[in-house]
Amino acid sequence: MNHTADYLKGIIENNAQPDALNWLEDTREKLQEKVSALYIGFSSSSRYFQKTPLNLSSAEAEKADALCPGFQPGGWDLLQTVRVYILLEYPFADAEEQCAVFTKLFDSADIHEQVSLYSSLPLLPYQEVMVPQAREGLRTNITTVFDAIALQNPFPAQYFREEAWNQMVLKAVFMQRPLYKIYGADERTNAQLATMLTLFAHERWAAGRKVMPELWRFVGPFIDESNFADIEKVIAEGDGLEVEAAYLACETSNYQKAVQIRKEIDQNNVGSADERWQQIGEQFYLQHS
Amino acid sequence: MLMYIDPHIHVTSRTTDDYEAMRQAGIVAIIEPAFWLGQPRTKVGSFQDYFNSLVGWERFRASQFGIKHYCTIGLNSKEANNEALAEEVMELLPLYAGKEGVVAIGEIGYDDQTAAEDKFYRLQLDLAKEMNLPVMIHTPHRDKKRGTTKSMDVCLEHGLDPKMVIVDHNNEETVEEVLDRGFWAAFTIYPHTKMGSERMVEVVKRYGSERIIVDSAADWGISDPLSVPKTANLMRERGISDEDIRLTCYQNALTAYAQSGQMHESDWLNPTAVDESQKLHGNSILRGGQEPNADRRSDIVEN
Ligand SMILES: [Zn+2]
Repeated sequence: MNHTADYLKGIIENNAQPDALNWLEDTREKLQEKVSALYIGFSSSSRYFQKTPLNLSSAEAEKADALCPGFQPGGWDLLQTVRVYILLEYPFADAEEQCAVFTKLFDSADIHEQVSLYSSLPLLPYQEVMVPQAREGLRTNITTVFDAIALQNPFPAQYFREEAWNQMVLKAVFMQRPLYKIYGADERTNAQLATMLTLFAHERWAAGRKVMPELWRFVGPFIDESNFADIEKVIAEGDGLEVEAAYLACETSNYQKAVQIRKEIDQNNVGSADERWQQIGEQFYLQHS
Repeated sequence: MLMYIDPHIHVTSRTTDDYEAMRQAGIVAIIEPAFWLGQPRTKVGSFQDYFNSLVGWERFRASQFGIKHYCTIGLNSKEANNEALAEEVMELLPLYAGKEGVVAIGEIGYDDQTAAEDKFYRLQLDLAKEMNLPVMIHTPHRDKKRGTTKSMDVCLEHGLDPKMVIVDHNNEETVEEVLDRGFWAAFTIYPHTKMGSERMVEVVKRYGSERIIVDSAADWGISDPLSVPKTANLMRERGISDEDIRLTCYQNALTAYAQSGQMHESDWLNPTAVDESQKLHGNSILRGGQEPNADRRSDIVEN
């Protein structure tokens, strides 16, 4: 028995009516026999379950992370949970079958179905084979589909090579997505990405526009003589959040001038760096929504 | 502001300016019927991509302008005449007809009234019945009166309840029979063909508002995505009651297509948290930080 499927089942049972649960159990039994039951169940679950937010307790959220590090169903809705549950209950024989079935599902998926498919990636029995599909998904312009892969999903951090990872983060910046929701941000940032993001900032500044403060998180560990002037510029000319972000970026740097800046400012910030980046991100989105 | 529904519009062919104007004119929800695209498709994959855009991209695009987008799924009569391709499309339909936001099988019916058209029309009526979905009928432009009668005859022959069938593109010649037989009668306000708004006012004066629906069928031709609100305004000027306007330009379409179980007034009155988050920070139509609903009439191009 799949522990993640059991976990999702528990959440579904707390949130749904008996007739919908009967349908789900019926579907689960049928899809042990034939794949068509998976296709029908996956699509028609919208007739039985609503897109209501899950509102997980903190214990439930922690349990998710224990089952699969970085698995964060807190932002999921009930219908999505049901769809992922159905996917996990299908007995895939091997990676090849899983790829074939997913291709078929993706070929006819509506937006919510795409979101569900992508959010299931870190829970599937065969994961690495899904990398090309995840990269394809990131080409979308539909925000919720992009988010299902890039945000609150451990799949990219675990499986993307540097090039794919960097393209994802750059597009997230371009689409102004909340970067603190990218799982593994600090572990996966790299010199190439820091350069791409700094160049992006130059391009925006040349057009008389701003960049989101969270961008500097990815630059911090790679602050050097080539980009330190950018950090200084943000500190000198930026608004409150931008300045805070620039200081916070300096905290991860070994570049001497950045270390110097760190010593100059007051160090009575509360919370971990992670929490402070999240606060910066949240405040930025409050201001821009 | 008054709310309108345009229950027949091919927004795939329309621009963002149209969407903005529609929203400003009070259109809160639209239905995009699957139809032909002006030139025939040669591969089943083109149909699949088109259906995907109806349940995916176009729905998202509409949401960026605060408009709730529904669609119908079907094989149109013109393309039913390519029988080999039509067979393949028929296999796709069950995959899409059951999806969220699909409110009918349509628009289906007759074009030249050929044997192939008849065959696929009947097969799709059976599908609609099996899936308990309403049907949107495209009545033919040529030989319209007889084509309309035949469309309804075949529906009854296949055991469909007239209240589940919306007969579209009516005119003064067809409306009476459609209403008498218990079907919904939709009118397409489309410049130079089909129906004009002044004629529409006269139809409502004569037949009232029961089971009468106004739509634009705006597409890639010279057409007007504001036909519904404009006709409503003309009705108001010419003394038609507010209630009759509400029924013909909003409520009747909702009542008819809500029979699918896929369309609810709350979809646009109380958009869910999920829909809200799609709109917040959405950044695909609004390239790099454009503000929604910004006044773009100025000569200054903001970016
Ligand atoms: Zn049409």
